[in-house]
Amino acid sequence: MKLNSTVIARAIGVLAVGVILSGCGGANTTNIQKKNVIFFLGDGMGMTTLTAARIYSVGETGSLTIDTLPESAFVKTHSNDAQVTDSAPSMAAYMTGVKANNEVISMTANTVATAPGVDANGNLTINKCLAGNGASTTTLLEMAKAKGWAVGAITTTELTHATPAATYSHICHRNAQYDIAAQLVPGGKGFNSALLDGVDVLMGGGLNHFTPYVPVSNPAGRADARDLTSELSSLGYTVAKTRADMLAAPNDKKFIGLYSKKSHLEYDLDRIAQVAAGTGNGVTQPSLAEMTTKAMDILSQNQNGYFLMVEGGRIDHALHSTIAKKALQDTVAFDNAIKAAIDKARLNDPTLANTLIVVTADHDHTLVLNGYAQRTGKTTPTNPGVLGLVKNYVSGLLDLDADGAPYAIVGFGNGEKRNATRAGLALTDATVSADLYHQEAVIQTAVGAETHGGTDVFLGAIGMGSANFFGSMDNTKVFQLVKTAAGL
Amino acid sequence: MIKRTFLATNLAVIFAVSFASNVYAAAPAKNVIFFLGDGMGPTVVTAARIYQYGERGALKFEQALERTARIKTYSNDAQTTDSAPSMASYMTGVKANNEVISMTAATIASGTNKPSADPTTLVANAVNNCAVGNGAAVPTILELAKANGKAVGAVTTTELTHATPAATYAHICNRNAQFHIAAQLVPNGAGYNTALTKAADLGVDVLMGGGANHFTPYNATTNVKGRSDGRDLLVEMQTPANGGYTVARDRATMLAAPLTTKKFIGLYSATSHLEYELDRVAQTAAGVGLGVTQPSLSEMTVKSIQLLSQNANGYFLMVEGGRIDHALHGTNAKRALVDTIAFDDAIAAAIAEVKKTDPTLANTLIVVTADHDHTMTFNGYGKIGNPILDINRSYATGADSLDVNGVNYTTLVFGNGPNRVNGVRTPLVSATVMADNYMQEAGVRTAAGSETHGGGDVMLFATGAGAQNFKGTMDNTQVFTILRNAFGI
Repeated sequence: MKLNSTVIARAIGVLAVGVILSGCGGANTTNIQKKNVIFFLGDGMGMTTLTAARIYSVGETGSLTIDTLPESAFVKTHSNDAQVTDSAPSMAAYMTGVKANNEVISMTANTVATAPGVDANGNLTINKCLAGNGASTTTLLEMAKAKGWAVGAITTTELTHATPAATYSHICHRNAQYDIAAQLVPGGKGFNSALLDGVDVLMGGGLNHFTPYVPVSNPAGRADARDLTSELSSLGYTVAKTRADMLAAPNDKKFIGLYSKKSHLEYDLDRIAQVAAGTGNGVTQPSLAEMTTKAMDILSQNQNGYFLMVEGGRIDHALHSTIAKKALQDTVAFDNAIKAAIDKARLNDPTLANTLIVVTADHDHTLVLNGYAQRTGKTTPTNPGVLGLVKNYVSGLLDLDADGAPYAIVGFGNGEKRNATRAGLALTDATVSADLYHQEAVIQTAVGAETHGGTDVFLGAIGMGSANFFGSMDNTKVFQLVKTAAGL
Repeated sequence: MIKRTFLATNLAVIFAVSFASNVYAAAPAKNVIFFLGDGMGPTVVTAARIYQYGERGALKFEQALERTARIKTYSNDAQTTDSAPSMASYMTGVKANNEVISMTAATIASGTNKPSADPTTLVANAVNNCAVGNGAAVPTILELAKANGKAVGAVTTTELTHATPAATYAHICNRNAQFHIAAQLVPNGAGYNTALTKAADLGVDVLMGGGANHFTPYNATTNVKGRSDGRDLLVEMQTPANGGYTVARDRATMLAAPLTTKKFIGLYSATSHLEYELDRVAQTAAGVGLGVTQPSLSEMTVKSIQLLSQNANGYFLMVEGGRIDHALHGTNAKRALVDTIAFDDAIAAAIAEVKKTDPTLANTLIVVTADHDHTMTFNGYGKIGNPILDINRSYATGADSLDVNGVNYTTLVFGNGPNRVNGVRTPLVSATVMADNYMQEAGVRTAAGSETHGGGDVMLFATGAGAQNFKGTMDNTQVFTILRNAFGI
């Protein structure tokens, strides 16, 4: 401990001198300390979801870590062809500064999204992007790599899902996930050469996009028989498939962690329950906070700096299912990862003078908070909190709708659950705050098909260059601000 | 220890330098204009932008007000606030219960404290029942500005005695006691709020809104919603000893008021609020209707700035776009968006007027925010350029987006509201959903006009002197502190 604090004190001393010199207007201080950028993306984490997550976790009066970020802006999210974006062009706008069409991953605005085709095994392995259909646009991650920084992308979704993909790949359609995976393997067919020696840290779910098709044991595997994990391993990557693998991994090697055989990592609500019960996929999966700090441990070995993207990706999935509870718990897990990252970054950079942390969302959803609820406080085993029914702020009794039925605080503009009539609905707090409850929607969709929302999203920032994040801005401007702050 | 001292010294230098530059940047604002879009939540802002300027455009205030913060709006007793405690939080820094106007947190609005009808005239809410000792008044930024010799004003498109403007100049346990709120404005009269007096300078300098009935005596045929106490507050206010107010009842009188006007009160409707902007414009074009004689919010704002800026010490002005909220309560998105644009135009007009004498806004802080959200939400996945009020049309095909039953739907809907369709929804056509009076569909049925507020955080925008202090995420009560610090009072 004593040694550590001395080292830290020295580092701060050097940093402080650098800042003072810089303030005096002469010296070039860029080489005094490495620069770090961590970009946190809460998928679908709109402003109403943020408010609800705050109340869920710490009550109306409390603050999430996101709420303590000193700088703030509002971001317009529309894509090139859609009023309401999907995660591909919105994340690509942050990563490249170019606004493309829905479903396009980090390519020019004229790129036509062309869905991949199904192979003999029923998997979308056939990339149908034609040559000449748009061009790649350079991502922040690629720029950082070119500058000699370490780079990483970690997520709770499949590693090849739209948001992480937009940091390291270029393709005309987000669903071509097998080709997106191939872009990660240095020297391999389909490699994205802008990644040079490869992305240094990769974490997420969906091992199947990296491993060969095998009937029964890997039915959603690759049709090209390649095992990308073996290829990466031979290139020097640590390949981890569990939390334990991850925690034990050396910090001086490149790293890929794929913590689910197929599909995304578990919702945080389920992961916690499975860990407690000792059964289920979640038992061997790390939390997003653990993934984040491990990624920082590895990336910080680079003496030039690092760029890390962290996605809380399943907030969006829970909202598509109109299960507010899982969305809010995943938002809290995302917030915990932000706190862990800030705390860890401060160990070596106490004032964050060389570390920029940006937190934002790629788009809104249609979640609303009905009134006029009395204060609920945070959600506990005995208090539904914001997940409960609306209770009158004077009487504390249930407020009833015009059909005489109680209603939940949380609703959705559209979603899978819509009662033909609300008359006679006997909802209880226990029902509407249950783990699997789907909140009611105005417009009924297919299962899991609640849409994104078109409203602006919140951006918070702290550290190096964060003071330039203010105002109402297009998502493409965020790219410029990060690029400038990082000197990329 | 040596190392720590070294560190401390270096940090001290850093802080001293940055602190000094902050002090330099934070010169006190001589003037503050506080714009409040009632119910103007984030979805309303986005939708209004698209309505008027398209997805790639920007509202005028989004362009002119470069600083941004996110505001928590809950009240002392409610997750979902009403306009009384939320505006009072901005104006006083104290978070009170729903329906309480600028009083302490302990103040009770409900039960026997609610106002009641006059037993003789039967006029609703004529009797103030706030118990003695039920909470205490807390000073407002308007009162503090007045006490510091500044001119002060409150302007709205609602009744002048409605919750938002009332929270700038009145203190009462229940917002519905509007007749008593009105009386608090009348110097030397019963019920006057003496905190509005600065030495010999009596009363709020500029007041504008609707609802003359709260100021004029009840009459069984000509003023059935008038004051049951028989007072004519406007006559009282015109008396030189009571402020010598100029009273305007229409746009023409307002525009004609000279800059030498000492005190001004404009009440542009006999009862209730001013017209929605959509209707005011249509009525003005047609030459018929209440809106013909009503000013726009831009005109009211510019006139107020001109009058208030006669005070060499500066001014505080509150401007409310109050009917955004009413249209949302009616789930009538079109009127809400048009009123938001009128509010936006008023902000732009204010900035243009202020810049005539303060070109860099070095002496003027301008803040724009909302008091609370609503439940309007924005469905996907529409094609870019599809009219925001229209049926949702897919970005991929341009065809109508369909619900699970194959029925089309609108882009904008509400969490709750009167238009709750039971069973399979009915197919919609553009002409219906784009019409002026269309009420968007809702998930939970309410009575007509009773869509609720929403509990989501709202946006705040600022520019000018001290604007850089608005950032991050803050409680609505912190906004008061920044306003006060900006004024240096």
